[in-house]
Amino acid sequence: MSADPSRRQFLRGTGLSLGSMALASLSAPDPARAAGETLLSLPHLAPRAKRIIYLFMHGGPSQLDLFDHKPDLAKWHGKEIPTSVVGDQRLTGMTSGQSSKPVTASLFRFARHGRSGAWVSELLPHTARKIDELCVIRSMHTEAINHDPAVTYLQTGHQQPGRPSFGAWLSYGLGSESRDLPSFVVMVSRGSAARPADPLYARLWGSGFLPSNHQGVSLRSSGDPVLYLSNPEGIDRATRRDQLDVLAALNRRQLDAHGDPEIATRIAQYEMAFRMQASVPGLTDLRGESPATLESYGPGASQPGTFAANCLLARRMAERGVRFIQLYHRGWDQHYNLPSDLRLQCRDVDQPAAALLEDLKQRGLLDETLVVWGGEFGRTTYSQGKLEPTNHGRDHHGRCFTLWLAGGGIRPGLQYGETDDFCFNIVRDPVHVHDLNATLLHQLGFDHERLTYRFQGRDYRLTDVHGRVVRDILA
Amino acid sequence: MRLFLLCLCWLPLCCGAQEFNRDIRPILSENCFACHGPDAKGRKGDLRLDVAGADLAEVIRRVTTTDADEVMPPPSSHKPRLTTAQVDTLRRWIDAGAAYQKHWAFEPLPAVAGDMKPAEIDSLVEASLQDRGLSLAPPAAEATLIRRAALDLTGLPPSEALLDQPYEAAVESLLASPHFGEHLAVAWLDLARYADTNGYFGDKPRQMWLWRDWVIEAGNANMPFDRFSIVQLAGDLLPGATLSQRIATGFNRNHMANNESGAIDEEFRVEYVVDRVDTTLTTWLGLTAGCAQCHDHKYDPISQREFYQLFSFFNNVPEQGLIRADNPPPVLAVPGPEQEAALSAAESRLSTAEQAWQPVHAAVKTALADWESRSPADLPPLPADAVIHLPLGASQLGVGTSVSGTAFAYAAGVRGEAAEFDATRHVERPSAGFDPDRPWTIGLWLHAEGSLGCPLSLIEPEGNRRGLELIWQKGRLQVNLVHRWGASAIEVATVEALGSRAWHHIAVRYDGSRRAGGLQVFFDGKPTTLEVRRDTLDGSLATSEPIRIGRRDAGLGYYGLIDEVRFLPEALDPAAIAGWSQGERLRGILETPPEKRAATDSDRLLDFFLDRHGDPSARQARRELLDAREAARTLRDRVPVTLVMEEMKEPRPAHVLERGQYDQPGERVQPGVPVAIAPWSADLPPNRLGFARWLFAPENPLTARVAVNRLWAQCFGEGLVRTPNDFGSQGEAPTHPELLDRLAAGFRADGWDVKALLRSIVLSRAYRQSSRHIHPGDPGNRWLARGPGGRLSAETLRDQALALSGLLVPKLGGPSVKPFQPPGLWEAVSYNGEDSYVPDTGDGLWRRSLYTYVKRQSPHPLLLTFDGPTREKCTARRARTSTPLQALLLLNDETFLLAAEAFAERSTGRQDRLGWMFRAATGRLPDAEERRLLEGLRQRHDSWPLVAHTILNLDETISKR
Repeated sequence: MSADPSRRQFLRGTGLSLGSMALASLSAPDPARAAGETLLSLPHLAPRAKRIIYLFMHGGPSQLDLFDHKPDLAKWHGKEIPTSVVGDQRLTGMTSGQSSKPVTASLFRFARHGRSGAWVSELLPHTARKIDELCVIRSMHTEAINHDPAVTYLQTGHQQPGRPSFGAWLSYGLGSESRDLPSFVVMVSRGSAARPADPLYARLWGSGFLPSNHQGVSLRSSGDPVLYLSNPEGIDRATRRDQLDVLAALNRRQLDAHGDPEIATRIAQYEMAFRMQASVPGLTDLRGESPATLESYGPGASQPGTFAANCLLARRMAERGVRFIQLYHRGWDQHYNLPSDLRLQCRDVDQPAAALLEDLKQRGLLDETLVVWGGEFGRTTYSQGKLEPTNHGRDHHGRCFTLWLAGGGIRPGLQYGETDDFCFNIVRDPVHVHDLNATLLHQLGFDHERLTYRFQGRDYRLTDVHGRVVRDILA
Repeated sequence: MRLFLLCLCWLPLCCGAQEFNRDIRPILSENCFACHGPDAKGRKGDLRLDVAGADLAEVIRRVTTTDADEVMPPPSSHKPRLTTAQVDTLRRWIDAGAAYQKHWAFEPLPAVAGDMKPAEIDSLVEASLQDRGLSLAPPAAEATLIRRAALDLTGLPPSEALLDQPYEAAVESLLASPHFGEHLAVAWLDLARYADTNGYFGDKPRQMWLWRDWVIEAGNANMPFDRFSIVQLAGDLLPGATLSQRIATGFNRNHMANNESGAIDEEFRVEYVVDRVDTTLTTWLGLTAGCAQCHDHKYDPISQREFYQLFSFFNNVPEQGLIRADNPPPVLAVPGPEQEAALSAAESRLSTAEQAWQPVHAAVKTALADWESRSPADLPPLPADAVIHLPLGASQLGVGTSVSGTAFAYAAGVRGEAAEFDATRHVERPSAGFDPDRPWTIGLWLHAEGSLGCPLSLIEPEGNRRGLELIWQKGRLQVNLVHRWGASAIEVATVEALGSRAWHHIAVRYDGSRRAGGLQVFFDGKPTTLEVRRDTLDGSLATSEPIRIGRRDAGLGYYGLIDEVRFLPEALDPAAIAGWSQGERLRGILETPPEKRAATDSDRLLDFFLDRHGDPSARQARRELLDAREAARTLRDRVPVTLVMEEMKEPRPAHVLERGQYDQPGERVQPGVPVAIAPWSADLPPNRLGFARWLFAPENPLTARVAVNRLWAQCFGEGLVRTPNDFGSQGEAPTHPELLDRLAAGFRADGWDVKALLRSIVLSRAYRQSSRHIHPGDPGNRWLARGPGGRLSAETLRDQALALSGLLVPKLGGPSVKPFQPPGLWEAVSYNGEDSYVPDTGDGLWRRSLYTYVKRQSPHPLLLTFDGPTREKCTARRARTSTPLQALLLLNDETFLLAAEAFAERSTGRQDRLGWMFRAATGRLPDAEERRLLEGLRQRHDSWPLVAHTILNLDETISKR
């Protein structure tokens, strides 16, 4: 797991707090905090994955237009969805008052793919070719029915703000593998859908009550890739080096005179900042990538800020030891114009995501990298607004949605879970948000019940007081 | 050495009798209370260990047994077995009679006569040091000390004059400084989760700065802490509540508020009330109540029922969970004194203007009717050479058009009828005759309903999506000219936004240059500012697709009316576009019988007539009326508002919510408090005011303990209780229990005098010690064998740089400001990238950091980088991390670079520039070697700003020593 096994051994031996482990990584501990941190020995289990690449489809992709094929719905198309199916489901304020809720079969063609013969929509031809690498969970569910609580739930284990994000937990638990890159990096791309993209929230990569050195670092596609990375005009690298040498000499004198070990940490952080000024541009410089690789990710691969470019960067970060690589692709909220907008969104992500899997595999990284693809919830079987021959929308739906996993010790070629004929309720093997997070943590070597942090008198976990590892999907 | 460290940190003061709170409770709380504590429902085996009565011999048997089925804590809890030492401790306590105690924080405070003097603080600190074989360190150098106190009391470095004063005098100046209240406010804003946006989903702006200013002023006026608190919790319920007292109640309106359409109103309304309970309990009682939202608290004596009794105090605000306004009611509009005067002047000007206009109006109306009857010929001309013209009326949609979708409807348009679109129907017409690659102008009238739609397109639905499209998005017009979608295209959007549900003329003008600069958009004849999102067009726009009105391709249907679409084969000049807009509108009005005209249309016609044919005095009277109206409206819009608490006449019924679920109400409850802390006195009113008074009742020991702990932390970096948000059973016990109790009792006896308490603390020898690390143990300085030190907070770091450089604008209060921040941060997270951060110009760049605009979903990077909270939830303690991103910010952020330049500039002309800068930043002169290093840097690069910048980055500068 660690770049330096002897260090891990040392930590285990002394039972030092998790936070202090990060000292040699990007993050330094909160020196005054140690007493409040839990004492754990790590890893709890033999890890199957070293890192996560999380391809978050922000807005909630339509499961029944992409993966959860319901051919029999055609017979119901245009008819009211039976109340027995809807049951006591909480509907959002956007369609709870809608008088007619016509069943809307998918307008897209599905076909079977791979050895597993899984159904995949025509909108995802590249993904379909990788289907035997994927574990498709069609039985995800969440209690949240609106974006803000649902995304916050999936990424922090709680619908209301205030908890650390997944990546922050991982940074806290594992520290960094990399000497000169953050352990948790976030990249955002804008979808092609015409509908405006829903907002994101800094809390989704925030550290909550964990020390703030565990928060995600945004890698931006314009301006400085990392905030404040570039030296100002008039200060070249040699001048900066000279300045930092003088600064370090002065600070070392202070360390000798004053004795506060924080000063030693500070000196190290300035040095790491200097290294990052070289390592981050090296990360984002794609000139070393072969034309074949660039081409495999599709036409957007060399355009900064696209999902394709971010996928390629994700692979480069995986190679460089970043622990949690979080991508957001915005624009999946198809309340209306689903047929046109969903097509555009799929075109954005299909080829790059498939290429990422292939690229990781070819480099021998897929086994140790867990790739997650999915959004915060699914979409309704019935149309939001008027159902027209070629146009309709779908509202949010938390009772079932589809998400796929690949690599990182997850069983490939598996279709897990089953929904009813209306793609409304789960009939077999439900996987709750907490179950997913428990499983992801498990693959990284954590018992989700023991990765805890004491805050306000309580030992908090990513999975709150819930979650079970879905052993059926483990390789 | 290892042994020494262990002694300091882990061993209780040994050898004496076991004391329940000190020795026993921590063991039981950590290992047993989760199943055998105050939570009645979750209790296992009917065994309760937080109060007397259990079979303790059995307890010892179960924690020592080797039987895996019997051992406690059970393996499923993931808790390790009790250590031998812990078991011994329990045994000795049981042998001595197993005396229980109330939790330490709930024990009464000692009786004292008045506040605590510095010497009394020192005697208690010294006693505790002596027990550990330690003593107070020698005092820090006087200037170091003055800098320390200045940073702790005002958050700013000392001025030169202050550095030359005796310490005691410097402390008095600092306590009297107006910056004292600013610095004191920061920790309070963290607790109050103060922000300038609503926080959920759309994260819209809100105004709360009047409340923030109230806090600053209260601090500067040294308002006693009990009054400061009661006013914020229940100022509106005080008899004869003043405006200022009502503003103060904003404390409990600072919580986040949700505008996400689809959210369930009651779910979020309940969330706000819960947030108030949590925040209030953490702030005043240092307790975490959140657990009791779903079940009895597992560690502390707060039952679920009591939680909802507290809930009922805060449940009676006339508010909504799904907010409909950026400043959700109840709000107060609070004109400043100058605004009040200006408003009254504006109102009287308006009434004068109206009176003067009335007689003129009558005369003008007559002349206007006469002019109208003579078929006026002097209207601005319409463009004559349209290659395509679609009138879009019922009788004539336009030559060559076809209709798709549901049957069309029509409504009154700008001229005659207009077609009504509802995203299910659209109009098509072949684009033959129109060449999109040559210069052109497209004009049309929109009366839009929805937030997003495509009123006009000429674009391929698939593939390269070649062509052009106009997209209405919340009043902004997006124009895309596409050769290859996403790659070769011009994409622009207007910065200006039009209102919906009113007619507006839109003209798009393109010169064929394939540059965004060649594209212009006009709203009602006026040019707009365009935000260029892409400017990479390098090919033709030509396509065989038809023109579609009311839809893009398969999707993006438009809601609203469209009228009079024209395609012109030239880039019309701006004057002609202005005339077109005005001329077409006037023609439309004239074609409508006077009695059917809207009032605004009649006014429009009248203004045109006056402009062309009115006499100067009539024009003057009209101008004055319009100006006076506009001036009054502008003034009214500028009156700041602030969110406040209000009580409904009939309180909302409060219920225990099963498992904390808003839709699972159980037993009805009445207002009440956790009585384990202090009893509820019958003479208190059962509302927020009663609750606030209960906090300060003589029987309540917790409020004072929590408050002094926070003020202690302001000076020492950490409280005497190191878990300021948890004074409960799971929190840490105080490092100096007697000191905490005496300080708390003294604070109360002395009338809750905040400045007096801070004065005693900073004048103590404990505070004045050198902060050098002379003992290797105790890295966290729990026993206070050295003075406080450590990295400055986000705000103080920036404020210090501004103060040293002379850039600081020391104005107090006012609306939040926007200093420098890298571009693109708001766009990356906001709804469709619509929100942009526009840095202020002038003073706003240089104000103290507590005035920086707080956007919860994209906090300022300074705060994010240096452990500032997001202000989503109540924060009682900030972490203090050290990261390379912090180094990057201090090295490369614009503010710090400009500060370095100004700092260097300020040193010019001084005899010893280097010494002056070094002392200003650190409080001391550099030694010879330090001079040599910095002087060398200056000589090698011939740059004083580089030296200033290096000094600003010194550990000694960015830390308190």
